[in-house]
Amino acid sequence: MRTDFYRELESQIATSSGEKRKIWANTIIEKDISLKELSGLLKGEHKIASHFLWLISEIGILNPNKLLIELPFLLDLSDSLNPAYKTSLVSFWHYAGVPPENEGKAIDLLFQLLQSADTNVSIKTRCIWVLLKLAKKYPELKNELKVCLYDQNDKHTKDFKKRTVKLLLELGND
Amino acid sequence: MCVFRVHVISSKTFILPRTKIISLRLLLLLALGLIAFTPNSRSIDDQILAYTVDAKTQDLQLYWKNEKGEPLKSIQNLKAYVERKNLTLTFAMNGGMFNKDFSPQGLFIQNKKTLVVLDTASGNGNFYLKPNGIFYVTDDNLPYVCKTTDFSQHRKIKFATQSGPMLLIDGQIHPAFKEGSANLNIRNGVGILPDNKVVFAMSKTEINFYDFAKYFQSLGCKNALYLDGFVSRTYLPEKQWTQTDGNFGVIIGVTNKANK
Repeated sequence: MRTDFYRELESQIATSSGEKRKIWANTIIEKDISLKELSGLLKGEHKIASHFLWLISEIGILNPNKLLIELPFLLDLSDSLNPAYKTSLVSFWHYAGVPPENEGKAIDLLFQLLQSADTNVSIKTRCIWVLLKLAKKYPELKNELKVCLYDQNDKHTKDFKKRTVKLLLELGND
Repeated sequence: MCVFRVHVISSKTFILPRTKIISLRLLLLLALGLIAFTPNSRSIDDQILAYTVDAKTQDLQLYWKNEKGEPLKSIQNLKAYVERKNLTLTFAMNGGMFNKDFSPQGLFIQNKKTLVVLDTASGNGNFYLKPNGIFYVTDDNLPYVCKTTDFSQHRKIKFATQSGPMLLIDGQIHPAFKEGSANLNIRNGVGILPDNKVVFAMSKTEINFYDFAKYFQSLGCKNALYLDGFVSRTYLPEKQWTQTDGNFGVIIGVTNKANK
């Protein structure tokens, strides 16, 4: 059955609708299919891989615990994939949280993406949300985050600036 | 629109007796009622394929492997298998969840032999969405669906398959199901009707657990069990539904003696 499911994804995911991906996400959750079994799709054509990453995000929205269990595997796998796919990890952490065993690597990657000129603003916003959560657990991160927010403040949209100013005030008050 | 016109005629052009006006109003209410309720009842019938089996008089069995000990996997293979025994397959459906090697997940009893033992563990996925349950047929051809925790192997059991979650428990929908849930999939299941017949049902389109359970409830079932989703296949030639593919473990089949 799982082979059939893999084949269905492989042949249809590149042109799939959001609705269809939601159904697949439900199937993965309900049948408790391991993402390891489907990870070959991330090594396929870009369109297949990118749509599969969206499907993984859908799993995170529908069932954060299911995604959380899979995240250490996905982080390890990301080193052997197209580097651009690493930004998807930020969304996954945003939906499901960061597994304790991945916190160190996650913090490094999040700061790296936050400071990179190549990262788009929506990913940067997610990086900030994930880092804020981590900073609640590890207060020593707050200063580094503040420095980054000051640095990024004027480099993006007005909305981004508004948000960072608000967050800086929150961080300052803690 | 037609009803509206009648109303206009009755109030402006003609003076109808009071009884006739009341009758017309009743007709109007009936028509509105039909418009309101017909599409829903039709849509659930259109959406679900159901087959009722009398286990007392029909030959209902659970299949897994062929004579060589290989998993049958597909309805096509089951059809060929029963035809070799001079039988005609009249109904077939996948009958429970399975492992990667196509072995049944959880209890499986075939011809009074326990081939896979009861699984009372906890885990993820639908199978472990408690309460899960068992569909079984006793030696005297009485069918049952019960919760795993209520199952007792003291009775002589001819066939049994374990799956999960239960759709209905003593007439109530499984507490984990949510009305309007966006958790859609093709699903199949089994329930016991008030006259002790078995009803097998499969959704033709994606459906959530709540609506699927509600369907069994609407038939009067007290207990019903989810068999599987996504892989679901049904062979029911009398309703022009002949899916013969598949790649699964246990298959439920109903056969007749072939006409020579």
